This record gives sequence, structure tokens and C-alpha cells, in this order.
Amino acid sequence: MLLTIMSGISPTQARSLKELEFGVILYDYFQQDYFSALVEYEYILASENLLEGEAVEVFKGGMMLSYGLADDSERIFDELLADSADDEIRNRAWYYLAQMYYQRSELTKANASLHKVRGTLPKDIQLQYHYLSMLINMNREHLDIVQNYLDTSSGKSELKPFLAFNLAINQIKAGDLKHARDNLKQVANYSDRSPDGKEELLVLADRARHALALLAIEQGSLPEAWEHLQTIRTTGLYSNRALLTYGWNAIEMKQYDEAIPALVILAERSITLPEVQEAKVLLAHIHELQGDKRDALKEYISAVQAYELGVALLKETRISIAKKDIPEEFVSNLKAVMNDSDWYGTQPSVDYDNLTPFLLDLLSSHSFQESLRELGDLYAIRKNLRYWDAQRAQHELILDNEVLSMSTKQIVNEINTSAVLYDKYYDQSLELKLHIQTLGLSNQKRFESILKMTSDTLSSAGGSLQLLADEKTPYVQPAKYRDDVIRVHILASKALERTNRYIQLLEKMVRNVVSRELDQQEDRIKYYEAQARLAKARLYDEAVSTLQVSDNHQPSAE
Amino acid sequence: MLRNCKVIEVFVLAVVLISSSGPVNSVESKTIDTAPSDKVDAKSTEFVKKVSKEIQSLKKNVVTLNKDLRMIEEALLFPSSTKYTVFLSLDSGQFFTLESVKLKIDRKLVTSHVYSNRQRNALSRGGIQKLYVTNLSEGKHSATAFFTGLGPNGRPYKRATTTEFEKGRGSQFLELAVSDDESAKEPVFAVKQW
Repeated sequence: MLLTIMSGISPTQARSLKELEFGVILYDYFQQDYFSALVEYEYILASENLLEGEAVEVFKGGMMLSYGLADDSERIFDELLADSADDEIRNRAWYYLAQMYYQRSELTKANASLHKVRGTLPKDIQLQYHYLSMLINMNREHLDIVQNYLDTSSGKSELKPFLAFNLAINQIKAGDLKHARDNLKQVANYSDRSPDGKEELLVLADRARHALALLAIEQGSLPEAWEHLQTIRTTGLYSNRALLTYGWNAIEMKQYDEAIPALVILAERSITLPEVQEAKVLLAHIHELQGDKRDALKEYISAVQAYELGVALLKETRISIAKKDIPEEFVSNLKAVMNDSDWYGTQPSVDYDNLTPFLLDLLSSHSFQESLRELGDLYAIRKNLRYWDAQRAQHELILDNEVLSMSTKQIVNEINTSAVLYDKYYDQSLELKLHIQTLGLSNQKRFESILKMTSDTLSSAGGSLQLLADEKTPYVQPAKYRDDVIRVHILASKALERTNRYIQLLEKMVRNVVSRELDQQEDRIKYYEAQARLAKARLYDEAVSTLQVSDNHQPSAE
Repeated sequence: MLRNCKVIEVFVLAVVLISSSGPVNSVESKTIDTAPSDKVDAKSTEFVKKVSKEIQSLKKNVVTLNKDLRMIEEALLFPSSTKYTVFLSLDSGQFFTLESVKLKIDRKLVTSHVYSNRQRNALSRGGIQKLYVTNLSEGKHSATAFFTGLGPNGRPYKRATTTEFEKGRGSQFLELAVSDDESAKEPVFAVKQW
């Protein structure tokens, strides 16, 4: 049943209490809250209510892997592969192992694990399997298998366009340009008119169009490249690079007038973007190539000012990253920051937004993403442990309160008083009932429901009173609870200290990497600034020389 | 299951384009003419790998710790003799899009929940929500659940279902189950005592 549920093909209703409890793990798991899912798993395991079997083990391994517990998941999969004869279980285990090696950047081992998959794969991981294999760069033969899978598989998946794109890139590397082009065209066809128009897929479609243009350029077909470049959106995450390529392509085709509008759009964007930095100086250069020295000079002067602003912004960014909470804010909002469709066109306003455009290239680095993910997990752990730290006072209060609570004698007195009251109200209710029966039928009906409600409430209170009276002694929490509370909270405090230590270490490392990236950015801006200044000086020189020549040609007044 | 599903391969052809751009002599592209490389140096990568190992052990400890803390908290707040848990499940959800639920126990509103898309999706794939945990004395009780959402043809749909049950000694469970009635093309709301 579990494998069926995991595949998401046909959820079935829980048939036992264990299945009901397991559903709670799945609820967190399907929301990709792997931490809560693992806690729930351990909780149910400790309550001795957990489902058993190899499928549960596979599930646990996958869940641990998703939460970044690679070593433990490796152990689980190794054990499963040693013991299980079930093909489906083995295939799942090999797939997850490959995924784990990929996460650890051990690509040879990942590749070897994927090659161990035999026969038909479970349907729910087919697409992910092929996707992973594309990332690991499997051989030519496998490219054909994936191509066949894409050609024959039905059903929609958000991953499919990404698979097609990555397959195309691998096909280009393998020299299969025909299929690569077809796959890229398929991805490029995605538009905002698609029923599930998502920004990330629109960005991918832009990338595919850009790739098609580059392929055309490589083959010397500039007009075809031109066609593709014209279909790329001028807004969106990938528009900067596309506009720059468009500009370069127009220059290549000596259509300078076509290049200028694209570069003007680009040059108006934030100077923090590398493409904008390049566009500024390129725009001026095109004017120069066209012989329009006045406009060229104007653009060079504007470029120098923009580069000065860029260097100033870099300085501000360095100050931002040095602030205490910026890494946490940045990591916590990473998804929102990346999805923010506005940042590329405007000047950033919030502190951590300062970082985003400068770090775009860095954010595509696998190692950097891994570091940010670890940091993100650590921040989540810190939040969780701080929550438990706040609960500590409440737990102690509950325990202290019990010591101060009523004695057995007091409780007996309370119960006796309640019993007297209960008898009194019960008699009153009987009297009321008799009184109502003396009324006319319509009036009796009016009071029927209220009488029933009162009678039910009294009956429930009477039952509770009887239960309390039957107890010889009141409930007392076991003495070991206090020791357990103290012990576990001490462990939580130690874990919090450890978490803070790792956060400090990783934040320091991330700050260093960011700082190096900013150094590179600064070097590049300064390089363009120097180019612009040189060109400006050259144009001034030429202007002065022209003036001197014309002075020399002037007839003497004498 | 891939933690970082949508990784896009780096497109190396960018190198070819600009380095072959002839006519511009004094402007050199530094933006897209460099082959992309991993921006994090080997020393930092090695450092992250080493710390990652230690973080794995911390994560594992924190999971166990959370389990222990939860067990202790539940033992303090909900002794096993009185503990009562209400679950909510959704089978398929073809004829009903669950938007919110309200739960009354013994005629008192005890909890309500509004569902996000992600939660709805998790439920429809077989996840079960632990909606409410409380203490109930032995004896007769009643539970009423009010479901709101979109019914067949996307029309607003409200339904309530109620049950009377006898709470015995020890932990007990109640499941609010929403399922589809294929023949009537309508959702079915049921309450099941475990």
C-alpha cells in the first residue's frame, strides 16, 4: 500500500490504525517538510505504531536523503540492496543512492548506481531518474533512451521541459544537433499563453530560444539566430543576456541600428548586472563605429558615471553582507528573492536585495547552493530549538503546578460539593419537565429541544462526576517526568549551542566567498570603466586634433 | 525527491559566440565570453563537505530530540488515559476541493483550519492531517465537523457531519474522511471512530 501511496497514483483510505498514523508522516512528506516528517516517523516508531516492511525502509531512506542525512540513507539503502530480492525495492534503492552520490558530487559513483537499475522503473520515479541521469551526463546510448522516453511518455510534468532542455545540451555535447534542436524548439514553444504559465518555465523557454540562436550563430546562420533572438522576452530573468546577444548579433550582421535599441533597453537597467556593464560601453562603441562621435562621447561619459555608481553600490553591498542578520534574511528569502521579477529592472531597496544581482552567477554554483541549503537547514533547526527553549518554562510550570495542586482531601470535598449541586439541578430539571407537561401541546413543543439539551448536559456532567467519584486517588504524573524534562532540555540547550557554532562557521565561509565574488565584480566594472575613460580621452584627443587641423587650415587674418 | 530538481546545464556555446565576434576591436566581452566555472574554490568546498558531515550528526540528534520533547510534552498535556486525537483524510477529492474545516466537540468549537494548495495536494496524495489533540473524559461525547469548499462544477459547497461516540479508557482516535461517491458524482463526508 505504501509504495502505491508514494507513487501518488491511487491514494487509498487507511485500513488500520498504523496506516492512519503513517498518513500523518506522508502529510508532512508530501509538503516537503522532511524534518517534521522524520520527527513524526520517530515519534510513531517510539509509540510502536509504525508500519513495517521494506517499502517503509525505502521511504525512510528517501526521506532522510531529502533532509540531507546522506550517510544514514546510504546505510539504509546498502542494507536493502544486500537483503532484498524485490526488483522494485532494489531499483528505488539504486536510484536514491545515485541521488545521494550526486548530492555529494561523487558523479562516478552516482553514474554506477544508475547503471544498476534493471528492468522497468516504478512510474513515480521514471522522470526523476532520467532527469538525474541527464545531470550526471550519462553516455550516448542513454541519451537515446531518454529521447525515447520523452517521445513516448504521456502526461504533464513540470520537470519535463527541464529534462528536454538538459537532454538537448547533452546532445549538443555528443554532436547530435538535430535532436538537440528539436528538443530546444519544444521547450521554446512554451509561452505565457500556456494554461499553467509559470515564470520559471517562461525563463527556461527564453533560455532555449537563446540556445537555438547560439547554435545558429555557430553554424554561421545569422538570420536564423536573429529570428530566435527576436522571440526572447525583453523582460524576465534571462532577458539581460538575450538582449546583449541580440546586440552582438546585430553588430555581427553590421546592422548597428538594430543593435542600438536592444542595448539602450539593457543600459537602462541596474549597473550591478554584468550584462548592463558590458552594454554601456558597447553602446558607445557602436555610435563610434557609425561615425557618430558626439553620441559616442555622450555614452562614454554616461558609462563612466554608471561604473562609478556600480563601484559605490558594491561598497554598500560589502557593508550589507557584513551586517549580522543579512545571511539569514537572504537565505530565508532566497526563493522569494530569486522569484522577484522586479529586481533586474530597478535599483534594489532592501539590504539583502542589494546582494541578489551581484550574486546571480554565484547562486548558480552547485557548491554555493549546497552551503546556502545547509545554512537554511541550520536556521530552521535554530528556530525549532528556540521554540523548545521557550516551552521549557511551560513544562516546568506544569510540573510545579502539580506539586501545588489540591490534596486528595480537597478534591474529595470538591466532588462532594459538586454531587450536591448535581442532585439539586437534577431535581429542578425533573420539576421543569413535569411543569412543561402541564402546558398545551404547542408550548410543550417549544420547550422540547431546550429540555433535551439540558438533560444531555446534566447526564454528561453526572457521568463525569460518577467517574471522578469512582477514582480512589487523583491522577499523578510519574516522578520520572521531571527528570526527563530536565534531561531533554539540557540536551536541547547543547544542540542549540552547537547549531549556533555551525551557523557562525558557515556564515563566515559564505561571507568570504561572497566577498571574493564582489572583488571579481569590482575588477570587471573597473575594467569597463578604464575602457570607457580611454575611449573618452581618445575622442577628446581626436576632437582637439580636428580643431587644431582646422585652425591650421584657417587663412591668416593678416 | 531531488532536493534541487531544476538544475540547468551550463550552456558552453556562449563561448563561441563572442570570441568569434570580429568587427568590434576595442570592446571585449567579459560577461558571456568566459566559460562558466564553479565560483566556490576547492578549499571552501572541502570545508563545506567537512562541516556537512558534522551537521548531519546534529540534524539526526535534533530529530531524536524533537521526538523526545514531543513525547514528554504530550505525556504532560495529554495523559494516555484521556488522550483523544482527530485526523482528517481526503480520498481523491475529485468532487470536492476542501477549503476549510471547523470542528466542534460537545458543541464547542475546538479548532478550525484553512487549507493551502500544498496541504490539499498532500492530502489528496494520501497524507492524513492530525487535526486536533485533546483530553476527553470517559463517557458519551459528540463531534461535529463542518466542511467548506468547492463541490461538483466548482460551486461553493458546505456540509456538516456529526457523530456521537463513547470515549473509553485509553487513547482513542477519530477520523474525518472525505471521499468521492463515483455513482452519485458527489463527495461523501464520514466520521470513523478508531
